[in-house]
Amino acid sequence: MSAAPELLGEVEQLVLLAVLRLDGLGYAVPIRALIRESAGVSLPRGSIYVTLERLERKRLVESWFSEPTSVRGGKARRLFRIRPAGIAAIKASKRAVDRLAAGTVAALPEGRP
Amino acid sequence: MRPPASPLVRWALFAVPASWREMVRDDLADQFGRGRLADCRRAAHAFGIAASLHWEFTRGAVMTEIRDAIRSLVRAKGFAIGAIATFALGIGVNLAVFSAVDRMLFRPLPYADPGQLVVMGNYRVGDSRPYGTIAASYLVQARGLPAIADASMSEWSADGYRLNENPDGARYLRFVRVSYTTLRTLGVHPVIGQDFTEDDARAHRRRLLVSNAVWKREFGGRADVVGRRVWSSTAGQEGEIVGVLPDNFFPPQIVTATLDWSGIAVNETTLDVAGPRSATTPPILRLQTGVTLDAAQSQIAALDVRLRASMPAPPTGTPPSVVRLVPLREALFGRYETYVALVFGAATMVLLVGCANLASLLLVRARSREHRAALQLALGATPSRVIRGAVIEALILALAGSVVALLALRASDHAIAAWLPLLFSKYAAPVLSARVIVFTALLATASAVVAGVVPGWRAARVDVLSVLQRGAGRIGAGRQRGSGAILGMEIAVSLLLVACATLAGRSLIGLLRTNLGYDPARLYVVTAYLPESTDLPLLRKEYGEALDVLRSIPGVQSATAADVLPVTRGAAMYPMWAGDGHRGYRWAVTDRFVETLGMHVLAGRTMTPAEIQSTAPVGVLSESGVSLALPGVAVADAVGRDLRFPGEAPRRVVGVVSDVRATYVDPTWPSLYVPSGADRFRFLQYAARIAPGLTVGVGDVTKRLAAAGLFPQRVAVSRVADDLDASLVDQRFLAELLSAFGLVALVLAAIGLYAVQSFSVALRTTEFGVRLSLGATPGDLRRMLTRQMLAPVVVGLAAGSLVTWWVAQFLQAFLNGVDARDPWTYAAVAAALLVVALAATLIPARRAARTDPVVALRAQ
Repeated sequence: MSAAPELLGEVEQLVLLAVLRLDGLGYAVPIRALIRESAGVSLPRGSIYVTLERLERKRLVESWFSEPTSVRGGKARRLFRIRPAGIAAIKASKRAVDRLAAGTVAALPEGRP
Repeated sequence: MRPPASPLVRWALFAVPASWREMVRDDLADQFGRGRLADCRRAAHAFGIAASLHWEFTRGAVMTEIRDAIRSLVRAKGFAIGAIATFALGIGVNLAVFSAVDRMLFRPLPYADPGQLVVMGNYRVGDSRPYGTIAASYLVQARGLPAIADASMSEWSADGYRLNENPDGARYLRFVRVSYTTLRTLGVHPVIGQDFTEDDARAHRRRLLVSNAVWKREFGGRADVVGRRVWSSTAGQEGEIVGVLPDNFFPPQIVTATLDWSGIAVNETTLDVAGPRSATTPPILRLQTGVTLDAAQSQIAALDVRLRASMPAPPTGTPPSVVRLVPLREALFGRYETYVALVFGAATMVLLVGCANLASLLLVRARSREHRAALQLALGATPSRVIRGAVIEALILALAGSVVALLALRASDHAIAAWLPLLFSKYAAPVLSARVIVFTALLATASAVVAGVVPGWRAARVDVLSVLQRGAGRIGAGRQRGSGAILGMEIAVSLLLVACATLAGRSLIGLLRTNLGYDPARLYVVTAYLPESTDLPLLRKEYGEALDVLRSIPGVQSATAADVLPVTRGAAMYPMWAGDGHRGYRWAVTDRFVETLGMHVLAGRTMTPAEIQSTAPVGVLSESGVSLALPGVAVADAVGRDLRFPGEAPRRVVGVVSDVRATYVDPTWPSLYVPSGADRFRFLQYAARIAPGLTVGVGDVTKRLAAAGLFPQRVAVSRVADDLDASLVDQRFLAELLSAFGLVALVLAAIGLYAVQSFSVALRTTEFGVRLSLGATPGDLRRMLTRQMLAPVVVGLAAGSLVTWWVAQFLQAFLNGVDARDPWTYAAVAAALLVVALAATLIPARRAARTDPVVALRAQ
């Protein structure tokens, strides 16, 4: 892909991957928790919302309101799931990084010298 | 059910964009527990999220607007340069003042734990200024009090030292004389070398610490400065530099401040002779840690009572006084507070004019862009967006103006420091300090918002339909009100500043014309302290010989001596008379006193050398001395009367002379001049009038005294005219500063007026074409425009006069012999402003009158 669309930012990548992993059950709190646990990065709360807003405007994710749950007092929750364009964007970003890292120590699997 | 959110959280959530509000609320409810603290944390998070979301939404638009604004400002170069320059002028004045005030009022003093430093002063009852000296025994005794950690003092005078052994043409560095405890008390350590020791003081070693600036300038900042020899202005004496003071150090002098100091010299003469009559400058004490001012004050009060009981009773007529402790900062700067407030107030007024000017320029610009605003509104922009555009433009201009002002101030740092009087220059901060930059940024932002909101609001309120129908580049008549109000305010503030400047200038001129009662031209004061002695006849002989030596110096036309010269601002030692609240002084003088000082003889004669020699019971009264000592007696009839003082033979008045005031700002004292010798000789001062074109220096005097076998401890020579100048520094500065401010305001107002009128004339070309083609003559047009343009000016002048009338109550304290509400001054300033305004409007009005109706209407 020679003329790649604009690459994702670091935070955008993290949030997009978290949304992908949560597979349609993602909203702000679990997204932030997952990024903290898996990636070891603690993002400010505000930046999660801003990023979700931006990703939705770029049409990489979409949101809908869930069925009211009994746990939360019958309130609907705004959930996010990734769109095909989002998956493409993740792949493009990943590929770009891999190509750049190819043949350097950064590309070696973990645990080897 | 989920518990309802607290009002705080609901309020915070309201800031979150509507599309996200629900979600943020739920998330936050999940995350935090209950309770007040949790509510606060929830609200804080909601605010944070709201701020990031808002910025995310508007960032792109704001960035575009900034780019647009910069681009359009670059296109309108003339407008941008004019606006930036005028705003830079307004804000620059404020920066300069702030950088000085910042040091004086807000910055901690350059001493360790300055809150524990106090000044021990002798205060007359009901007077807030310390009364000259305090008995040295207070300083000695205070050191022993449990509340006091340390005590020090610095003298009023400085010793001169030169760097080369050869005295010819040498430049002298001035070292302030301090006690050896000074740095210890202040908690300051030399950056190189060591502090003075008690041994230095006891052994009378001439040891010096140089200031950091002098160290860098004279010694190239080298470490081998320690141990360097320097040569005193008193012949045959050498000093040794033992260290270098820190960069920001200054010697704390309470009563007077030495303008030009190169360092400090250890000196303990006061303590060595701490007998009942020796006196010292108000000492600086350090309170023990944890001791409050009140606790220390009560110990000092007890000491005061004890010492007064053991001291000889003060001469009758001396007003009662108490010894008090005053925090050091208050003692240093307290009396300048009103002064600083006045300067700051005036600077703020200049900024206000600068803001008004920026606003009126933007307003004019907004009118030329009405068409664009109408288009924006028609295309669905909200009014707040149009206002935002105007504020962004104002912000860019204001920030550019601030940068210009900061750079200009930095470039002119030295010039400004040279012009500022001691009070400000000593404490003026380097312009680019962090605090000054923050202050500038805040000031510029506030100004830009003030200057941008009015034009933006007007643009947002345009009648979209009529503007779009009229077409681009044209404007209706009679839409002057917004800019008229701003112009009126600008004129009002200018009137205020120019009137204050005129009043201060008149006050200064009045002071300079004050009759001093003596002739300061070519008059020098020479002070020579001969070694202490208890042998009064010997002392008297020596001081008499010193006078003869002085008279023998080539160029000295006339010389005289007195215990204290009334021209030196020194307090006379003896009250003349104790009347009902009246005070007069007696001065012990030698022959040729009246002649040397150039005083006028009003009646009778002066005292003869024979009378002086024999200390005859005669005296010469000053004019006001007559009315105090001989109430109801005319000046001419006073001669030949006898004055009776308790314990003295009747003293015959042989003459009456003019009243003398030490400087322009000092009062005259009722005085009695008596032959010297009738009093003590301790502080004998000499006055000498020098032939035109010649000068007398410390070196000449010292050399000649030594040749005559006299070796004074210290010699000082000063020109009376210099002291007179120094006494007017504050008045002169105030007049100059207000004049500069007034001038800036005047220029800004003229520019604003001219810009508004020429822009509006350019935009109303069509209207003029119509008027001319309908039969108006160019003269009619000119008159109409002048009338329209001058209306806000006249209103502004009236408003400005009223404001000045109100401000006059604060200004009056700084004026001498001028009524701050003098109607003639107001009228003259208003007339001058009217002329400037007329000149600024005439050019655009003439241009309008020259409109060619054919050309103007062809554009339709």
